[in-house]
Parts: sequence; C-alpha cells; structure tokens
Amino acid sequence: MEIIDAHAHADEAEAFGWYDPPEKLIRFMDEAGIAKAVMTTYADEPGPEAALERLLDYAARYSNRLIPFARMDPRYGDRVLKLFRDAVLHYSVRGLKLHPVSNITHPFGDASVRLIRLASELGVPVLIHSGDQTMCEPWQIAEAARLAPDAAIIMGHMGGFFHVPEAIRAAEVYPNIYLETSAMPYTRLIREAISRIGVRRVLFGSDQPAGHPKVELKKIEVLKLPPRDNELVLGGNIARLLGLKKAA
Amino acid sequence: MKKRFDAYVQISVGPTLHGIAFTMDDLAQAMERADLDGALVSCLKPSNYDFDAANKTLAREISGHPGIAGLARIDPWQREEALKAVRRAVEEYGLVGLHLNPWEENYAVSDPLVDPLLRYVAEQDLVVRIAAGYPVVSHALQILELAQRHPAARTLLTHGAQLDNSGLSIRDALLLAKRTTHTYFETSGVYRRDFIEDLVASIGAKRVFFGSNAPILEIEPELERILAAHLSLQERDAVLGGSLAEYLGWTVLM
Repeated sequence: MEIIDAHAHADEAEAFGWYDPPEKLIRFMDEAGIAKAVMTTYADEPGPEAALERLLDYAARYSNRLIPFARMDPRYGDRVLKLFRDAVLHYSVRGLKLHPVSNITHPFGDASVRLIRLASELGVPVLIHSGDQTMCEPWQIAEAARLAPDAAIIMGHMGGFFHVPEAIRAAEVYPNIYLETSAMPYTRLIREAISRIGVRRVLFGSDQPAGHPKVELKKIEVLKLPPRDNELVLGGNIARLLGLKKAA
Repeated sequence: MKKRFDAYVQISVGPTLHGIAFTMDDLAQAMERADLDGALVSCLKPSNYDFDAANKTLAREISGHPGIAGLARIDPWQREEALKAVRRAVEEYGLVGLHLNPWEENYAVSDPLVDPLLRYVAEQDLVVRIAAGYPVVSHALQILELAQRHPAARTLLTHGAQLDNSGLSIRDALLLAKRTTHTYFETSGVYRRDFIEDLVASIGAKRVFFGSNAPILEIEPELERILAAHLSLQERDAVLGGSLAEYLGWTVLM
C-alpha cells in the first residue's frame, strides 16, 4: 500500500519563523514510510515571498514524491486567477490551497469563490485550512462548498480543536466536502466521521513537518480499520481526487 | 525502562455531563496496554454538578492503586464553598491538589475569582493543573497574568498552554514558559512537532510532562508525540515520567 499524505508543507520563508526546506519534508516522509505528499508553502502568492516559484522548484526537485498545491491569496482578483490558471495548465500545480488566517479573506466571499470555481473548472481539488480561527470555521467553508458545488473541497484539520463535530455535520450536508485528519487530536471523531460521511471522504494528512507524521499515522492505526478502508484513508481517496490512479 | 507517568487523565466516578464513561478499571487496562506506571487523575465533569461528592468518590476509587494520584475538581464560581471543597479534598480525602477547567466551568482563568484557590495551593505547597490553551478563557497570556500573581503556586498547564492549529499561539506559550519558573507544561494535543522540542530546549525537560488527556484523546498517539520528538534519552525519560514524579514529590506516585 502506498501512503499518500494529503497535507504537508515545505517553505523557506521567514513567515511564521518556520524554516522547512523540502529535504526536511522528504526525510520525515522516509522515516514514516510515506510515499507521496500534497505540499504547500507557508506563504501566499502573490506576495513578497515568491512562494509559487519556490513551490515549483521543490516539486521539480522531488517530482515523484511531492504534489504541489499553490497557496494563493484571493484578494488579488484577476491577477491571482491568471496566476493559478497558468500554474495548473503550464506548470506542475495539482491543487489550490487557501489559508484564511494568512490573508484574512472569507472562504465564501466572492474572491475566494471565484478561485475555488476556477480550481473546479481546471479539475483540481481545493485544500482549505479549517479550525477555530476567524474565517476558518467549518460552516464558513461549507458555504463556499455550497456556492461551488462542483469543487472538491478538502477541509484541512477537519475543524481543528473545537469545531470537528461541526465539520462532520457540514460534510454530511455537502457531498463535495472531504475531511483531512491532521493536527486535530481526536481519534474517536475520525472514526465518527468515517461512520457518518463514509470512508471515501476522509483523508489522512499529517501537516508535516509541522505535524509529526508518525503521530498522525498512529491516529489512523489505532482505528483498526478494515484493510480496504485503511487503504482509502491512507492514500486511495486523495489519489482518486488527484487522478493519480483509477478511482477506487 | 524508566517509569512512565501520565500527567493528564480524567476518570468517570458516576454519570458524566458529556456521557463519557472511563472508570478506574478502564484506566488500569489502558495503562497496562501503554506500559504506563502511573497517572495524575481528576474526575470528568459529573452530570449532577456535585464536584465535592465526585472528588470524594475519586479518592476512594484510586485508593489502593499504586502510581495513581488524584486532583480535586473545583469550580471557582462556588467562591467560599470552592475553598472549603478543596480543603476537604486535600485534608480529608487525601487528594494532592486541584484541577481547574475554565473551559467547562466557564470563567477566565485570570479572573480574581481564582485567586483564593491559588493562594491555598501556594500556602500548602500543593499542585494545580489547569486545562490550558482554550480560546478566551485560558489562553497562554491569560495564564501568564494569573501566574505572575501567584509565583509560589506550582502550576501545571495542559496542552502546552496552546490549542491553536494555525500555530499562532506557540509564541505566546513559549513566552509564558520563559517568563515564569513555576509553570509546567503537559503535552497532549499540542500543535507542531517541534513545539515540544523547543519547549524542552527553552525551559528544560523538568518542566515538561507527557500527558494523554485520556479518555478525550487516546494514549497511544499521545505517547508517540514524545517518542517521535527529537529529544535526548535523558530528556525523553524525564518528559515521560521523571519530571512529573519530581514535581509531585517522588513518593506520591510510588
């Protein structure tokens, strides 16, 4: 079974003070037996950090391991739409990442929804940071899912520390929401999510190297899922969303 | 192998407000599975809100279990009654300190309401464990305000005093850690792998304790959080048990 991590990072920006070059991510992946990972930067594009350029560089250096999702700032309107379209059509970008904490943009505001719809038109999924911060709550992201029903929206961290039950309920309402398991520590709620929305919409993610992949894998291991379900959570589902292999 | 202790466990001593059942027997089995030698426990919130009765039952349930020490769950809103309750819990029931949960009991941890309890903790050289890192009620800098008012109260903070999956509270928690010498940090659920490493590097392993927050969280992944961290063997042993034993007094968990 090939483990694919639906949420990881590499960046050498000064933003947040986290220095995580791609070699660090690869080392962590190797230690934990993870074959591939969705990778985003910490910084947004456009911005002062040349985040997209770095992302493409990292992806080129580890093209068989890292799957780049471009982290975009919706506030830049048409400029960001063009950048993202070009990144998918002419470069290796395979998904969109939105992090409302870094750009203070409502996930269901017009600017974000236009980007999400563009991702959908281009056939790539959208990973959105969810949690307990302003503009990251599950029902705010769910509203974006309602406005862009054809988009595959992955709720990173599946609601964080205090909003996981809401994330599960939102995913029950909107079938285009997927829940990614990193950083939230509640294994019983991962089990509950699988039970309520089905195993095909729950994705293993580690948030490495911020999250520790061994800890995040242990969260799935203790669930003792049937082998087929385990394979879907640990890689099959994100592979299907990315078109990496025939849909399971 | 050195002894391993869990700094944050809650057990049910009757019906609980959130419907969670985790008895002393369940804990004993979970500890055996995880190779744990002891734990610092308090009671889950009782559905009848009678904390004093729950504390008394907790003391009875844990008696005869070596390695288990108990904390009294106290609601500061009970004001004078809260102080009487903690005195009873310590002097009559044999508990070793108190557990405060500002999130479930609805108060800001820095509110003067809490002061009489922490003064008692300091006077009696007890310990206090605070459910920490919760937005609005027990953010790291709210705890710093409280801790600065009570420099003699040895204060154990759950979740590394930061529950924030954006990572933006890490700096606050580290500030709290560095600005004080009488705060101690438990590790369940903490965000970022390197937070534990940074904490140990900043304040030393003696102020960092492994905890699972069982039964809300599972012991195995929380234990993995420590085992996978890049710590020296000495630091790891300390975090997994030695530091908590020293904090409580070596005989308490034996």
